[in-house]
Amino acid sequence: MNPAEAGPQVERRNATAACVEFVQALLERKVVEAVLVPQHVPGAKVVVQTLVTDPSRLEDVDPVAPVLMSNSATMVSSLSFQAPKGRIAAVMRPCEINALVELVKFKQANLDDVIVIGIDCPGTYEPKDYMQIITAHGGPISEQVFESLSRGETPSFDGYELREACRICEHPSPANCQILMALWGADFSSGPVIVPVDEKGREAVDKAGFQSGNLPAHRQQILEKITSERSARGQKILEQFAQRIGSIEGLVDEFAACKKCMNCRAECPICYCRECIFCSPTFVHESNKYLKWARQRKIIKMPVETLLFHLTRLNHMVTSCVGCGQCSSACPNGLPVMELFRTIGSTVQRIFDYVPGRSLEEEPPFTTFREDELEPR
Amino acid sequence: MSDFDPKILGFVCNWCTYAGADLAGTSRIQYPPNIRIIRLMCSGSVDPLYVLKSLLEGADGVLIGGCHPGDCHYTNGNYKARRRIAILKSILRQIGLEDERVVLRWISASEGKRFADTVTEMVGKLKELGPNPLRERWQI
Repeated sequence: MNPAEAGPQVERRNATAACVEFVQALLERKVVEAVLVPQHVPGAKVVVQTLVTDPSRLEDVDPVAPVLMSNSATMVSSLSFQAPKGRIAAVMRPCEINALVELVKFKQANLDDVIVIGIDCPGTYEPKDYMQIITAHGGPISEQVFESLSRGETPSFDGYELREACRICEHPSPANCQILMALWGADFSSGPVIVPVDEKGREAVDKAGFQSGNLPAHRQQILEKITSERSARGQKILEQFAQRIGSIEGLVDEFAACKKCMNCRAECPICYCRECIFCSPTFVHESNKYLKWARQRKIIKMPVETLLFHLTRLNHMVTSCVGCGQCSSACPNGLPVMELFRTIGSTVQRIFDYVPGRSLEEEPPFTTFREDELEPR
Repeated sequence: MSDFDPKILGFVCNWCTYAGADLAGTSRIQYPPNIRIIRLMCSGSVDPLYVLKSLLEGADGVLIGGCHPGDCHYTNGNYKARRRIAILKSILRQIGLEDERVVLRWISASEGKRFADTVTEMVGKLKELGPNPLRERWQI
């Protein structure tokens, strides 16, 4: 049988071996009760987040796989907001950790009993592209990905591009984690390097019986190169986009294909409201209202209020947008939601000198104020 | 544009600006009849959604009126409103809509004249700017 038909067989080699051994040790030595970690679904070509309590059920763990089905900050929020009895460890990408930091500040997650294991990120493919790549390749591609990262290069697979959000991402390496799994510049033959970042991380690494690794020598240089390449691209892309939406006509054109499915909102890790106002009775209009609007304007677009939806969501949460791009990936019509949020976000966040995900201490702009700021005084 | 009669929607707080508007009326101060007032308990309860909805439905201008800093009936609702409106205005500028269409102003219960002056000033400015271009867009 063709290996592609049999589904991915995860070979535990350099890229994933150290990750698996480490999370296994965390469970076996009871450092944590459960781990949240990406795993291949046996027989299928996707990688999903799994919550595992049995160390023998980690056979298909693959946090290196360059695909992000959903931002796991939402899952860590669900797992932690009521302070469960039992510690968990979560293996997360930089954008997932940044979103989690925002959710903690909105009191939607509690990190007291969570150990965040941050993993270096090369960027991710759209899930459908990822599935095609591994079908063509006949199995997971994490070895190739890790091999590129160890050389300090963004992985590339013929005919496929990383998601645009990733191509303009300035965070190839995680911050605000307790333990770092370093891939950029790591020696390919010995696998990812595990480094505790703070006291809590050090304690967990010790208890798991692991030695703290040393950060690869060229790592900083590699990160600077990747970050500057990506932020240069981001600046260009977002400047062009700002031009395109710089007029009402432009904005209306860009979002003409919106049908208000609200998938972008559903996938957004920052949109945490249990009941979104767009699903509330406020937006259940009387039947006559539609006719009234149609009479007033002669013609209206149905469904109504698509632009209002995006502009409102911008107002409500652009200050905390971490740019993970799950909104754009979720859009059935490929609308540039990520570009909209990153473009507007960079300007709005600058008003308050606020960088989402940067620190647990900085208060999100909407949760605080200063008496001596802005106009009118 | 001399025959253009701007429509302004006012979201005003119960404790200060609404009473100020009331005083303008009881004092017989003349001001243009272009504003429709919606009373809320606090300028801090003005979700930018309300302002956006007004603009997308074709209002030419929106006034948000609250208590002067330090006078908020709820201590700090007006400071929160100020942040929200600053963000809203920044977004409007970036999508090519004149942010002068949205005015946040502190008007106390004793400032009937200030309320009347604010409306007069807004009508003048909006006549300069012309009608809200969103009124002509059906695909929004």
